[in-house]
Amino acid sequence: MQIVANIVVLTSLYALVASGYVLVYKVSRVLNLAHGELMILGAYLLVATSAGITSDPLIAIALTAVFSIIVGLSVYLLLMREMTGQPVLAAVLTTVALGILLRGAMVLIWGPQQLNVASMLSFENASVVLTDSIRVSTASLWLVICTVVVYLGLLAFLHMSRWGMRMRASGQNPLLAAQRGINLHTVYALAWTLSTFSGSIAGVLVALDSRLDVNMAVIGLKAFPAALVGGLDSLHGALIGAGVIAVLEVLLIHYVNPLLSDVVPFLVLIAILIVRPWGLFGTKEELNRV
Amino acid sequence: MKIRHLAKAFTLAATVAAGPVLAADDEVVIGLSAALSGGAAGTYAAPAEGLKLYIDRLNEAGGINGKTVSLVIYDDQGDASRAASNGKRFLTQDDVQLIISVSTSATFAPLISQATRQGVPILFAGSVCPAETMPPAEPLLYCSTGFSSVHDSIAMVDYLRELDGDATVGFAAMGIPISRAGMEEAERIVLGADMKSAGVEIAPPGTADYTPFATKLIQNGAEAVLAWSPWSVQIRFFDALRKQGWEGNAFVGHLAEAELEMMEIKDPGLYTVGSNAMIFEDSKATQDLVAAVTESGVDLHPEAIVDGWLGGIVIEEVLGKLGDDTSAEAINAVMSDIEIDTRGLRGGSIKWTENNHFRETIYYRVYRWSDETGAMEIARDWKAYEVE
Repeated sequence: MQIVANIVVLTSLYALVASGYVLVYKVSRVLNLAHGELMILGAYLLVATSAGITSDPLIAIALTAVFSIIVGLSVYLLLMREMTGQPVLAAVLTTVALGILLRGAMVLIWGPQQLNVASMLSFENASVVLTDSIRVSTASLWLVICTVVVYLGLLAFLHMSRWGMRMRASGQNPLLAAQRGINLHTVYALAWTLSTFSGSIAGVLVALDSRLDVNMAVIGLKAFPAALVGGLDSLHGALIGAGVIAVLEVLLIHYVNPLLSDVVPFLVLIAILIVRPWGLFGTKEELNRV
Repeated sequence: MKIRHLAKAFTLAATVAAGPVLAADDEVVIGLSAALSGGAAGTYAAPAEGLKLYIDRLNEAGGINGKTVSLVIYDDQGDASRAASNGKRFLTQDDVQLIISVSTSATFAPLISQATRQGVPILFAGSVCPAETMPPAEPLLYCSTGFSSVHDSIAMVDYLRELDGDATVGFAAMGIPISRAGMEEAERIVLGADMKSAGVEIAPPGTADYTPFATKLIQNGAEAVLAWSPWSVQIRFFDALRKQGWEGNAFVGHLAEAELEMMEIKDPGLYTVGSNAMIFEDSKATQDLVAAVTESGVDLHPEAIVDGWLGGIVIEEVLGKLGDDTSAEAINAVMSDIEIDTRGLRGGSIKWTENNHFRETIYYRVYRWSDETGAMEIARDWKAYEVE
């Protein structure tokens, strides 16, 4: 049963990270390859907040959430806004450059050492006994809860709120959306903000669970197959894609060869791209436009 | 936030941008290729800084036998292609007489091939010791680093047998050759000693969650776990085990980050096995090191620089035995027959012979956190192992 718990936790991690890819892609058709770096930047913001502003962990986390919103908004306003109207490839390459820049900046500012964020915040990442045979860490439990809340919140927002509908409309037909009076820049800014915010939640929880260093940006890369397998413009697809990748990873580690767990998700990704390039739940015509 | 890192980067950039260093008669030029940034910098940047600090102090004190040491530092980011480029610059532009490596094993091959072609010795001082330094040693390669995957594994198993010879032992490695070699050797020793193995779990680089690997070790009945890999991997394996309520003892390699982390974790079931002394002991040797770091005003943790500091001691002793001839050939001649006093930072001296450029005897100490005293403690004092 512990294996099932491991799958649920890993699914939650990949799904939470993948939701960031999907939000930006769904609305603006930009593949944000700096998402892994933005994710761990959230965790580093927590370090900065707890070291420089407040030692109260709850206030530090709340401030980190605010700062991550500001970061997401700034990335759009200062960088990605200029890419509007440019070829999609240019925007994607811009995110690659942003990722490299952020990674370098984080090493310069916080150093290359691994940081024990839980210890810095006096957060006890205790083992939680769910049943006789299932234990998870407190941070992992929060990760699962936050993923559920974020997905429910995003689905409700996208389908039931006025701004959510504007975001979907802008993604489906930006020209028509603009002609109907929707401010595309506001919608795109909102997508980048929400994406960075959800990524930051993932970054903070992963850092609380297993420490923090710049190399953790690679988790963003590992969540990428989840987003693509599910369909880059489908939020529930990302959840299912994350489940597929997590099941494969955990079962390969447990029953076959742990080293395959690093390779097979990308083999699945290639297979999906060959058979169904728009992903399991993606929209075919949207992909063709890319 | 930490502006000092920016300052370090600018200092490094200035060093790199300074252009070729030409050896004067009264100086010895040494090239240092180190993982100052990149994924492995957490382990290697601090020892490299420690080595630089030692050399700076030597020069401020007038050098060695009237000769100053010019240290040319290039960042290789733990990357083979950058190390190759650094090696080329050392040998064709800077005309170095000795190369020092404080980086990942991935950088060794290009450095070794270039340096050996030109007859320039390489000292691994903070990098894991390559097999070529062990008997029968390659002529130009030397190692003073305190950790070695295979020897550390032997010492870990030996201590585990003393502590609990009946334990079923699991092994945690990272998917890089040197880590796998260490843990596979440890498993072989365990099985040879009629102990039970719970298997070797190998986590690929960039693993997002170590819990599934830990689950497998627990379900295979591991009562003790041995790990030898970069510190970040060792400690994440340990965290993943504890998160699942595992209560056994873990034995890990003593790397640069060990002491600071152990004082944060405060878990008496985590043992580090290694050849460097820890700073908490407050011995004369560690006091000197701490005082030097304090005096320098450099933002360094003394706990993390011991291997680099020892590299500086090696340089001082080798150059101290040189005569007027400071060529690479002369340096190599001295290095191939020398006994270096480690001044209390190790259990004994480092002795190199023509056939052995690692050390004839390696001394291991075991450390852990003690709940009784609320401080770090020596779980077992220095024990000597002959290097065959």
